[in-house]
Parts: sequence; structure tokens; C-alpha cells
Amino acid sequence: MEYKVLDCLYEICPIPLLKANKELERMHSGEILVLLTNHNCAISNVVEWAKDKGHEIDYIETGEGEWEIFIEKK
Amino acid sequence: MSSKLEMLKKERLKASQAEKPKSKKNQRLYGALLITISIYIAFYLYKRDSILAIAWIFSLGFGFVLQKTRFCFAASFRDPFLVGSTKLFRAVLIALIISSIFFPMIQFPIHKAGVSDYFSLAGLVRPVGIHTLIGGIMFGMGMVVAGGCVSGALTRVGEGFLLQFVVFISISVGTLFGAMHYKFWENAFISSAPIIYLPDIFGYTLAVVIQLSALIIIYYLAYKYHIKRNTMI
Amino acid sequence: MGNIYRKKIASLFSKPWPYWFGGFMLGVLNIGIFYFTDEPIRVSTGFLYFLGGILEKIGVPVFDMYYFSTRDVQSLRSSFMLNRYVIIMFGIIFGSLISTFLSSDYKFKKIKNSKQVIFGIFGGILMGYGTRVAYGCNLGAYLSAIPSYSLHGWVFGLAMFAGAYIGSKLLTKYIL
Repeated sequence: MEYKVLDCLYEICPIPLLKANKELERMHSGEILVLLTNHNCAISNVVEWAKDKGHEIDYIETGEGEWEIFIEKK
Repeated sequence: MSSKLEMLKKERLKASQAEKPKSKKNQRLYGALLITISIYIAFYLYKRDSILAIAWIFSLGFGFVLQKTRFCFAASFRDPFLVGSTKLFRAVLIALIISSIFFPMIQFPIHKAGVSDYFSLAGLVRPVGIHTLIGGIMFGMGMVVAGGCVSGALTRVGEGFLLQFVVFISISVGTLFGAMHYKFWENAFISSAPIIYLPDIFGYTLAVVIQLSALIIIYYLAYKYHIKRNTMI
Repeated sequence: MGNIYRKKIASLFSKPWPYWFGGFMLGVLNIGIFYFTDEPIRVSTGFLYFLGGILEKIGVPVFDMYYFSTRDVQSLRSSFMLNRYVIIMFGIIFGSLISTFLSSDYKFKKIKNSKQVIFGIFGGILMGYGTRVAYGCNLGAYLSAIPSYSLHGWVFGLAMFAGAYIGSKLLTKYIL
């Protein structure tokens, strides 16, 4: 399965959201972005933002305070 | 939920569990330990001054809610123009609206009974002037640049961020500098600044009506803005 | 059956709660603390008392400053921790720690980016300084001031918005 990984570990608000925003603008519909983050804010603000824009989004927890967020561009 | 995403999620979940065969550490015991310590602190404070104990308990609630909801005042001001989302901003407005309805029940009777010094009036009524603008702009710039406001820094110290611990110390240092220069600000702006307590101008009822209306209108505008920014293709 | 219940309760705690609920609870908690302690939430002064108290212990007469001339220096000197501002400050940290531990999300995160440290220090000092000038922070001069029907809360909010705008321009220019 093809996807792009965006490593935002150790980056703080609002960097993960801004980087995801920029990256997603460049991607085509149907492509998937995987965002790695350990910032607790991100699973709220990135998830809400993606949902508002209409993208499919889900995430898993890969450790204490570490997440992988999957965004499929609509 | 798209099937592509479902598949990817399962794939990555398996992959991450293969990398770290140990299941996630269960930290709930630490949580229970901290709760116990907090209860002990509450009792200790209660004996000294019951108000301190109650403030302690409420502040625990604040910290808990702020962390659980990933609340961030800095983001509430920054997200509307950075990513077009007013969700957090509207959540803050909800807090302001609810408080604005119930604070008067506590405050107005005290004011009605006669108050000579607004600093001792229940609530936080302070002089407003250029110093408020300058201080607010400094604070607004600082919070966005530091990655969080004062409450956000405290919350994130509780999440383990070393960076926010540095911010914590910096805020303390900043308040010290501010206190050192306080005489300058007082002479320049504060001593000539008025205290504008809305019920003094509009009377109790009108002040509440005006403030609540303003907050509700701003909420509505923020909602429309959010819809506009998020459905344009 | 019991297993599903336990999983649901566990995920209730480990998943973040919605923003609007946070706003609602902050409003409720602020009304509560105002009602039961005669003062709504405010915390930035705690930072000053805490640092000042520590400095005093090592011999720096911080509390002799003009700023403290209208405050109860005596009780601060006998115990700089036992005042509501420092207590609220640590209460928020503790509350956040408890919440983080209960969802097993605590992880010590080192700093990996030196630019962030510089911005953090600069931003923090700016914030702290602003609180002394404007009579509070995002809690005391905004969340508690507006419901107190004091105009300074509205002005501070507007100024925060302007400052946030300027700050974001800086941020996107240098960090992104």
C-alpha cells in the first residue's frame, strides 16, 4: 500500500497541523498521508481539521503518547 | 470509513506491535498514586485554610479538563486564520457565555451593597488602558511563539514536555522582569487608566444583555466563518 | 459483556474529549471556584510568587521591589507556596498529570530542535512580562475578566488576537 510518511515527532503545536496542511495540498485525491506525532494536541486538532475538510481520517496509538494519524485526501 | 484506510490502519497496527512487542505500559497506577497525593494535599491545606484546599481541588479539575480536551487558548486565536477552524475559539466562547450568565449572581449583590475599591470586588475588575493593549499583544505574540499559553504550558508540563518546562521557567522570569519594570508602566499608563465596569455604564440588566448578545453574535459569526473556510474547494 | 463495558470506559478516558465540552466544563469550574473561593481562576501571579520565593530563599530580596509594596510580603516570606496562585499553578499541573497517567499517555519528551528552545524562551518571557503589564494571563485577564464584566477582559482578548496574528507570521516565517 502506498502512502507518504510525515515525521512530526517532537514538533509542537502548531507545526504538525501546518505541515500536514501543506503536504495535503500537494497530494492528489485518494492518496494517503501518515503523520507521526507525539504531541497530544495533534490527535484533536489534526483530526478535527481533517474531518472539517472532508478527508477520511483515523489514528492508532503506537506507544505512550505517540500516535500515527492516517489521512486520505478526499 | 474507506476500506483503504482500514487496511492501512490494521497493517500499521500490526507493524508497530511487532516492533514493540511489549504492550503499552499501564500508567494508571501512577495516576492513582497522584490522586492519593492530591487528596493528602487537600487535607493538609484544609487545615491551614479551607479556601486554599478548595482552590486546589478546582485547579486539579481545570488541569484535568484542559488536558483531556486538549484545550489550547493559543490555538483558539491562531487556528481561525492559520487553518480556518474556529472550533476551539467557539469552545472558549461557550465557557465565557456560561460564566457570564452565572458570575453576576455572585458579583452583582456585592456590588449593589456598595464597593469602594474595585480591586476587592468579587471577580476580576481591573484598570483598562494602553497597558492592557500592550500587555495583551505581548502575551498573544508570546503564546503563539512559545507553543502555548500559560495554562497550556502548565498542561503540557503534565504531559511530559521538557520544552514546556523551559517555557514555564521563562514565564516566571518574564513575570519577574515585568514586576521589576512595574513602576514605569504604572506611571506611564496604569495610574491614569480608568476601571470600566460595564454595569456602572449600562446598569445590571443591560450590561448582561449586551455582553451575552455580543458573545452570541461573535459565536454565530465564528460558526459561519468556519463553514465558509471549510466547504470551499 | 463486561469486557465491552470496560473497553468503552477505558476508551472514554484514553480518547480526547470534544472541545465544546471542554469549554462547557471550564465555564462550570470557573463558576464553581468563584462561588466557593470568592475569586475566579487566575494563575500568572503564581509564577512570580514561586520564582520570587525561591530567589528570596537564596538571598535575593525580590519582595522588596516596588511591585510588592501593596502585597502581603510577610506571609509570602514565611511561605511563598501557601497562596492560592502558586497552589492553582501546581493544581493545574497535577490535574494534567493525573489525566495523562490515567490514559497512559505520559512520555517524557526531550527537546530535539534548538530553534524551538529559543522561541520557547523568548515567547515565555514575553508572555510573563505581558501578564504584569495587563493584569493577568489568558485565564485571569480573559477567561475570568470578561465574565466579571470588566472592559479590560475584552481589550485583553482583542490584543491577544492581534498579538497571536503577529506571532503566527513570525512562526511561519522562521519555523515552518
